[in-house]
Amino acid sequence: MIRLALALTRADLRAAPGRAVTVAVLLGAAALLPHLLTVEPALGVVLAAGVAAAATAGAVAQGHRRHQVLDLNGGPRSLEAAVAALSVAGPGLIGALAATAVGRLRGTPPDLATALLLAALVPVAVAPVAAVAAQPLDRPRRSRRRTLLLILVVVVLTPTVIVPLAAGAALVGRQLARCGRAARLVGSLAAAGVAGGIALTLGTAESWFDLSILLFLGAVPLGLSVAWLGHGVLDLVEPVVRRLGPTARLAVVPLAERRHLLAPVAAAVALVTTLAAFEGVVGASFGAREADRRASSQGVGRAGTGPDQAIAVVSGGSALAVHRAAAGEAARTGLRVAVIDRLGPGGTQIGGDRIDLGAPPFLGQRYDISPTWRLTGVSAPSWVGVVEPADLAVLGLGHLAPALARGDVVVLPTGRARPATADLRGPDGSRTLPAVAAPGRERALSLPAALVSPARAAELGPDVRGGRVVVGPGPVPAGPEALVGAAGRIRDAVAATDAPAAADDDGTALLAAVIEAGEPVVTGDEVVYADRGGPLNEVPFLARTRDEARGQALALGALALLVSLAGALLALEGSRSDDATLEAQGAPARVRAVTAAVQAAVLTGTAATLAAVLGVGLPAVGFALYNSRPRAATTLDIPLVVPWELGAVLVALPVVAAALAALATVARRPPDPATLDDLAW
Amino acid sequence: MTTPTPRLRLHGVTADRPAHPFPRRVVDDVSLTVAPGQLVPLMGPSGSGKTSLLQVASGLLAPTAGTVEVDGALADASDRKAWARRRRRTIGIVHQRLDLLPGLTVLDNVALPLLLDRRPVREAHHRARASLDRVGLGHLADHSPTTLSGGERQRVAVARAVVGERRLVLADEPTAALDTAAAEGVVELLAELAAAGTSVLMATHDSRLASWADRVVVLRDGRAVDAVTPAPGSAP
Repeated sequence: MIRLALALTRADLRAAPGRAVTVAVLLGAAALLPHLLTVEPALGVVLAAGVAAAATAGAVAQGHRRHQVLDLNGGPRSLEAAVAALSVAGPGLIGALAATAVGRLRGTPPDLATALLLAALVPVAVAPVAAVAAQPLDRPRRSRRRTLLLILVVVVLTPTVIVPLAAGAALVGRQLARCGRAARLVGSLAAAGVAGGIALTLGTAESWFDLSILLFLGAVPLGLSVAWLGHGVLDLVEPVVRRLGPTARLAVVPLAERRHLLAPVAAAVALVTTLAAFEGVVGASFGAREADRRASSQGVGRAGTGPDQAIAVVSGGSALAVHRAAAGEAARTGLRVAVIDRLGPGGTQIGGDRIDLGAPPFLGQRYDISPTWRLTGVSAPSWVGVVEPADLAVLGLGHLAPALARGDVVVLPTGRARPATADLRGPDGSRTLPAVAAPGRERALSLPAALVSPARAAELGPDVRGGRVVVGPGPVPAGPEALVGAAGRIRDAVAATDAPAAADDDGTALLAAVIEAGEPVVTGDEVVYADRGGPLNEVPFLARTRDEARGQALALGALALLVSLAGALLALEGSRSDDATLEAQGAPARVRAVTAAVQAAVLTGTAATLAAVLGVGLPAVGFALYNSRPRAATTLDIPLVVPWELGAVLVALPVVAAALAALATVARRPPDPATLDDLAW
Repeated sequence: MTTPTPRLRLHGVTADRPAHPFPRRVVDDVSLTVAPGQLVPLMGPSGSGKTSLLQVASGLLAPTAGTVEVDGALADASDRKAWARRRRRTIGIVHQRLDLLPGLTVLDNVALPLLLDRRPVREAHHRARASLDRVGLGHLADHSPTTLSGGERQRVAVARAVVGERRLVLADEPTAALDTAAAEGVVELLAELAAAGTSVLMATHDSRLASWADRVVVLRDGRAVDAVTPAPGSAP
């Protein structure tokens, strides 16, 4: 049996040298490109798994005549799977080894273990599933249970998520070939529903745990949905293309007719392309938000209310001591100083319009679906400040002084929320007051969530403590250093004349160091560590800046292009018999080239269309939901950014694939009907 | 009385196929002439070179020696464009693989050589329909080849081989995959075409075809070892 498998493998490699070379080159590129392009190795793993799965599925599909002979003779079906696996794993190993050699020459050795493991494991995992699915179409139902069982075994036993994904995609492609058009369209609607549900869940996940569960559990149905939707798109595209003319019809009708052979390849290509597009959009969007965050944090303590502010931290002091110290400093230096007292012990602002005056709850780790920063430590509660209307000018909010004076609540910016009322909850119940929102999208570190006038504060409760002091330039111009110095002196004066400052439980003491170092203040009212540690936040796909995201998208596009080309070339290998027929009937080389080009364009165009719809649509829905939800953390909205490079690559996919397919058809040896007969079995 | 120009003349043709470690000679110094209206079976055991000889005659396999003439014109083996044009306009091929394109209708399959020759679709379909009527399958024009029986498919392939002005049919085991009745139907059809002036060169194992033939050429190990002329009136 082993000798027979080896002999058949050798025959396969001779029959389809193009496939062997393609697999070797692409797996080598998959192992090497992440290192050359400084893309995360995880992407190389995804790419290599997709290529290997597509190649294996194609190898199984190509041996369908042999499969029929084996079946008629009662031969073991595993033989065919073994042949397909060997015919892909062999070139794959060669490619991986070549990539390793090149990498060592360049001084950036790729992950040999991963590459070799993929080259060997993926074909072995995918081939049995594809082989079972590749049984003759006139007997599809007998082993459905066995097929499902095999899928489950593969999903459970295979050590990565990608392999069962690719196998499932191949299987769905095969099964789809047996359905009528109506069934496929219904299935496509169901698959779209699954994708939409996953997008909804993405947008409404409450924690990283939720999101992780979604990513792992949702990956398989999402992958299957992509495979199914690929056929839905093909169903829509095929009737349109066949109307373009005889040559287009000649190309696309056999393509649809051989759906059961091409489906695994198309599904795998669509899946990987969609992953690449999804990653490109998500990475670019997160990168853009991070750029926004950094851009809005320039300047000392500005953070949304003014470029010239410094904030002194006087936690634990009495209001009287703070006012004295502030007045003394203002008189001595000529700077303008605004004192913000704290009303009550503090509270949590929820959704921008509910401000708790009671004891601060423990918030735990804040959830942000863009883990550009990991928020750790005990969150400081938001609180309500009391300020004289005249002092609002120091905060850059002088235009809101009249509103404050008449008793409105001035809500400092928190994301997109612009409440018209504020619900202040205290020990005696809640009071809903009219509110005005300050401009900007992110309030300064250490500032309260809302400001009220002293008169309004007196109505709300007598508990007023020392809060913050904001120092701004007065009649005499002053630079950041002078403002920081003044703030520091106020803090020292409070500490000297009043009780020692309590432990800085909300962490704002860090601010002094930040200001003195001249570094930008980054975010709102939590203790924030610029930290990406922790397994849940180790998301390697995410870019930290827009440029980095674009670079990654470009690299991903190149990788997607490679995979699509693999699909096109593998499809060409599968259409050699049609090519032989055309040659025998006198088709000019031009017609054969155009036919191959149209086939490749339809195949990759389907994948690109799907990638554009799902790769952009899923993040769009997810971000829209995330942005519309009230959020406790002072996180910015996530903009939807579609890098132009990604769009260019999606457009280029079918164009380049078609051109390459045409060149390959013209360049390769003319098909020989007799040889094809020999190789068919 | 002038002798009509042969539709096909092979003179001293020799051909090799790539094999490891050396090329394998599959046709060895074969000379053959097929006149208009002749039905010539090529017989011989498997591997004797029948298919290869047909491929040389159709330009799909380049001879290493010898010459090929089609309709009196010397064919340059290296001119692939000219051979493709001949296959569209002059030479029809019927293959044992029943090589119809499954995605096209029967009518489109028959019209394929004309469509490839950039004839107008209307004209191509008109001629294809006439060709299908000629083989008695006009009523199946809009069917898919996958719905036809083996005999019907082979008749469609014959219709494609004679569509338009093509008057030379090269048939490679056209009855190999058919049952006896279907095979006889196809052979009858080829004989009728020959009687109407089409030249047919046909590789076959079926000795019964000899009774329909003008002359039988026997190949062994790539060489033409015999040429038999059946007795007159032996056809049923």
